[in-house]
Amino acid sequence: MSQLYLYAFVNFGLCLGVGFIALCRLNAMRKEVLFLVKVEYAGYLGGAIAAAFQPFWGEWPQLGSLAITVALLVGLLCSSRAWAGDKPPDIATGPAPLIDLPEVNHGSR
Amino acid sequence: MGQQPIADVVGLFIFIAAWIFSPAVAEVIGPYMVIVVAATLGASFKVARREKTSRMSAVLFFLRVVGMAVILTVGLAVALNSYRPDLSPRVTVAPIALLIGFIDWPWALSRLVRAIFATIDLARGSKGGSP
Repeated sequence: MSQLYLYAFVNFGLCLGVGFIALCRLNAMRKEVLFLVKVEYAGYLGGAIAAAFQPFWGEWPQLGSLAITVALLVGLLCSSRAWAGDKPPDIATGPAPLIDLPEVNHGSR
Repeated sequence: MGQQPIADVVGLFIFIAAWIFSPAVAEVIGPYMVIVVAATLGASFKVARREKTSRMSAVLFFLRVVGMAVILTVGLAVALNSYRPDLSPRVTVAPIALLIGFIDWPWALSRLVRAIFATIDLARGSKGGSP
């Protein structure tokens, strides 16, 4: 039983890490960020919260779920360069509207 | 049975864990986890829509939204159940929590108030005072 508690606490900490990174990236998103990217990080955050509190509905994390949580956390940490400075990467946003360029828009707006 | 004193850190850890994860606690918190997860999904879109702020204020905003969902959802679900007895609260808590987390409430309420004022103007006829 104490091993289950240990797994539960480690899982809780790992899931909080995943959720915090996902929340920071959601916070960094602007209006132009693609919907699919928002869905990705909303899924990470919801899944992390669900996995962190799973002992409260009677499911205990085992080594397998710890492994996938570690993999998620490592993956998010490895992609930290793309989100450096809390700026979304270029591929996370759609194309900028051409009308905003001064070469296209000759002072007509 | 003889309760022996807790001598080491591991024993204390197990004691705290047994208290946190006791079935009595889980029985109370468990149903709320559906609300928390649904509100989390809604609130994450709201955080993404919002202006970029510092990390700490984003976390606090997120906790405020989820806490509001936890407080309001059960009441709304029970009220809906009294109007529509076929919709049991078990079914409706998740969508309601998702909506509470997702909708930008100040914006929605201001739209509602503007619509009400527009209806009043329509009913009494515009005096032409305002542009």
